[in-house]
Amino acid sequence: MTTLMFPDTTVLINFAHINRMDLLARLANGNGRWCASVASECARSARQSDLTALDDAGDIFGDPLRPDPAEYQDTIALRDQLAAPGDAPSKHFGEAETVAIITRRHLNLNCFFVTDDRDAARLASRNGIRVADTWLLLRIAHRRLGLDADVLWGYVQTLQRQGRRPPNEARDRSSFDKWLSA
Amino acid sequence: MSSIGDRVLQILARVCPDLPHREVAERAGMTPDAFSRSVNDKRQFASIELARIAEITGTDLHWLVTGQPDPSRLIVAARHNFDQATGLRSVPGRTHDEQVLADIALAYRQAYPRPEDQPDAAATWPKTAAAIRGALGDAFVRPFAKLLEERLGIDVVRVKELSTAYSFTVAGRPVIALPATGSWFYENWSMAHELRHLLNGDHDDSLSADDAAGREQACNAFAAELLLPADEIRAVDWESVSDAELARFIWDRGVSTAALRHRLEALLPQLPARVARWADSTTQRLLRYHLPIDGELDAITTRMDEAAQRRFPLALQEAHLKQVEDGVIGKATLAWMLDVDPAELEVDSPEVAQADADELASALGL
Repeated sequence: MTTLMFPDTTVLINFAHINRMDLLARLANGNGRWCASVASECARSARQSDLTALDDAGDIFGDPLRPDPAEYQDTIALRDQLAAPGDAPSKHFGEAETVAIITRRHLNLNCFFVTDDRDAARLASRNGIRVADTWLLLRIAHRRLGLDADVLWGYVQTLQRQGRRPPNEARDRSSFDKWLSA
Repeated sequence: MSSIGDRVLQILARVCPDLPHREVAERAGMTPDAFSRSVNDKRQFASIELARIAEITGTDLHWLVTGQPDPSRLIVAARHNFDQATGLRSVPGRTHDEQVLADIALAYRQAYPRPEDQPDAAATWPKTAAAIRGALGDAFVRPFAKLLEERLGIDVVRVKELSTAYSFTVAGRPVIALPATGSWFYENWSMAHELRHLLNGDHDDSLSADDAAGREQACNAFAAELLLPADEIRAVDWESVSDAELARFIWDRGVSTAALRHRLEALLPQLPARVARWADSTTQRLLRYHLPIDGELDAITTRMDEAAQRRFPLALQEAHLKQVEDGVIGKATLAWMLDVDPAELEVDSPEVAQADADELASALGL
C-alpha cells in the first residue's frame, strides 16, 4: 500500500492558507500518514488564528506513527544532518523522526515524502525515499481531480503572498498553464 | 531497567520539583492526559516532546532516550577571568557562549560523523612545555594556530561571538575555540592555556571549584613556561634593556606587557623599573613607539587583523564541502563558518528529483 508521508508542516500550512484541507484529504485518498512529532508541531501551528484549518489534519492522517527506542536514536542522529547553527533545540525532529521510521520499518519503496523543505527532501532522497511537494500535489489535483486552472492559479498567488516560491517553470500565468499540463 | 517515562519523572523531580506536570505538558506541547500516559509507558512520546522536555530540564536528550550519557556530549574547559582583588575565577559569558559552542560542535559532528575514524592525536602529544616548543619549532607564536593543527592535530576556531577561550574534544577532534578580539597576545596566551587543558585531559564537568581553580593555575603556569621560558627570562639583563629591546622581546614572544610583568614578578626578586612602567600601558603603545617596522605593510596591524578574523580549519570546511556534495548535509553550517548568506553560497550538491505526478497519482488511486 502506498503511503503519503508528511514529515513537517510546510505542505499542510500551504493547504491551510488556501483553506483547502478538503482538497488535501481528496489527494491523500486515505493514504496520508504522519509521525508523532509532526502531529505535535501541527497542533501548535493550529493555534495561530490564520491556521485553524490545520485542526482538520488529524482526520486526514489518523493516529500518528510513534517511534520505538531504536527509532528515537536514529532520529537524534538524523537531526544532525538537518540542523544549522542557531536552530532551536526542538527544530527538525518531525523530518528526522519520519525518515527514521520509514527506514527502520522498510517503508521506502511504497512511500512518498511530501515536503517543501529542500533539506528535508535531500535527507529523504538520500535514504531512498521519493519526494513530492505542494506544487506536485496541486498539479495532480488539476490532472486527476479536475481542479480548474484559474482556481489553481489563484492558489499559487495566495501562496506567493505567503512567501512561497512556485516552480521556476510556472512563474507567470502562461508558463503556469504549460507547466500544469506538461 | 528504567523506562523513558521513569527518566522523565526522575529528571523533573530532581531539576524542577515545584513545576506542575500540567505546565510541563503544556510546554512540551502535550495534553495533561497524554503526558500522564506517556510517563506511565502507556503512550510513546514524540521525539519533539522529549526534545522539549530535555530543553525544559536542561538535560541530555540522549540520556532521556537511552539512560546513558550522550557520548557526543560537549565537555569544555574554559579560560577563566581572574579577579586580582578577590582571587575569584569566573567565566561571566558562559551562558551566552553555550549556543556558540553548540554550533561549533554541530559543525564538527556534521563534518566527522564517525569519530572512531579520526586519528588519536592525543597519543602523539609531548607533555612538557619544553617538548611542545620543540614540536612546534622556533618562533612558533607567529603561526601558532596553524602549527597546532599541522604538528599536534589540534584544531583552532576563532569567532567573535565567544567571550573567552575554550577547549574540548568533539567528533574525535581536539579543538581550541577562541574569541576574535584582535589581540594576538591574548590569543597566544589562550592557545597555550587551552593546550595545557587538552594535554592534561582537564575536561570533566564534575570538578569542584577548588579543583577547577587549581587546574586554571596550572594552565597559566604552563602557558607562561611555553611562551616565556624561565631560562630565557633569567638570561636577560633586564636592568639594561632599552625600550626598543623590550618591544622586540614581547613582539617576538607574542605576549602582552602585562603577561611579561606577571612572569618577571614570579621569577625575579624585583620587577625591573622599565617593565613596570610599560606594564601600566597598553602593549600596542610600547610596540607603536619602539618596535622598528620593516616594509610597507604594518606588521602590528597585520597581526591584529589576523587575530580578528573568523577562522575555521580548512580541513573542517573541506569535510563539509564533501558532505554537502554527497547530499548528507545542507550548506547552512558551511555558510555560517564562512559568515556568508547560505543563499549566496554556491556549492555543488545533488539535485533532488520530484516524483512523477502520474505515477504518484496512480499509486494514490486517483
